[in-house]
Amino acid sequence: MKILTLFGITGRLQTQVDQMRPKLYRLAYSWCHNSALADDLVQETLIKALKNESQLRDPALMKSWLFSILANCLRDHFRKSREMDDIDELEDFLYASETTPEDELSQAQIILRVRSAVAKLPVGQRQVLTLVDLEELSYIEVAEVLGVPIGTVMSRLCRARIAMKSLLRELEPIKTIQINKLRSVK
Amino acid sequence: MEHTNLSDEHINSFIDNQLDSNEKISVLNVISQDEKLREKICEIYAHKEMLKHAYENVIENVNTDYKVKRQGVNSIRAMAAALILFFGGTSGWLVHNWKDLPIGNGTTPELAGIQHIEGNSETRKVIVQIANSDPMHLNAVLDETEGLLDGYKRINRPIQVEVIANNRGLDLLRTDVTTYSKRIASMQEKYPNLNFLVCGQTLAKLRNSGTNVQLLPHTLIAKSATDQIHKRIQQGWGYVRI
Repeated sequence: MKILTLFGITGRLQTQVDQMRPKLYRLAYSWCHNSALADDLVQETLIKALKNESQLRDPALMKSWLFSILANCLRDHFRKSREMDDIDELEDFLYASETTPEDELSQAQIILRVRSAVAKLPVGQRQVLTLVDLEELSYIEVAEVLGVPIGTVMSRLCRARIAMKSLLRELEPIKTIQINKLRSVK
Repeated sequence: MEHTNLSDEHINSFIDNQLDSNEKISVLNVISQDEKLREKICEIYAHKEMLKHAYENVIENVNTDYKVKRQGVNSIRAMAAALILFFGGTSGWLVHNWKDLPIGNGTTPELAGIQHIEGNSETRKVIVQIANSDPMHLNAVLDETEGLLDGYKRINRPIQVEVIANNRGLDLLRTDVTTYSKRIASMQEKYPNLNFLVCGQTLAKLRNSGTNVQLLPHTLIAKSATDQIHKRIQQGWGYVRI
């Protein structure tokens, strides 16, 4: 069954929704860095979307609507996993393992560096950064997706970019320093 | 990190195309006179591109390292309760009066909530999803399902149940991994109205990754867990996730 039939929306949007699953998965993965959890979150998102299809009044807003459900699913997941006060401050090293799931696949070093850096950001900053840079959402859309004021989006983005700069430097491979051997001089 | 008169927020807004044309022009004027700012903006652009590159080839994959903190059986039940979704549009799926149902030993209120209206002999239909391989969850899904089937059997009410496994939940139905093969065979024999299914997508991913997956006898393969759950919900089935 095509996912579209779930939403009871017209055929014109069928392609749009079919295309959303990979996007949702990519976003979920960038938030949790865990393939199985990302898959789980995407499935939960689609099921919740079905349940609440009437909430989507304008099909043009489907993308941000689904992202918003995904963000809620992640929030619910964290709430079940542990008690927390502020998602912005949460650094979930639980999922940001030192070796990412893709390590074994010998991905390019730069990919690992960037993913590791993103994984070390607090969840709130990570979400804003990926929604802006990866999904190219406007600040207003990000604010709606995450249910936070636009000022919070901008401040989280600032902090995320400053942190990324520093993390990417920290994660740079250590270059071997050429030390010229000194000759003993008599 | 302030540059000239531009805040970091303002610089980001410029980079992310959030400014109107007049604001952009004023930022461009500042940039043209500030070399350090130009370097900084270039660096942020580079990081943006690196981020896109880092995730552009992310594809769905089954990760064998999936670990989630577990907090005991009570949390499973709480989670199941929280995740129970009732669909179908008929009042037969209402939660009330679950205590009236003569449920089986293993049945918790989560699944017992799925019950009938007095005097309604329509077949009740439930799809139960298991998406992880935590032994407590695997036990719970079998206990709950068996309890539900047993309860309906004892009151002679018709019920149809599907258990669908995806992600790590597939371990439940893998011949080489499961420790529940005898119990599942026994349940299948005892309850002809019970079917076990696996998610076709998860299965394909595992097989594509070189894993030799063998399923227990009589296990059905759905196109995907999501599709199957959606289909059943559309058909008026109740949905429970454990």
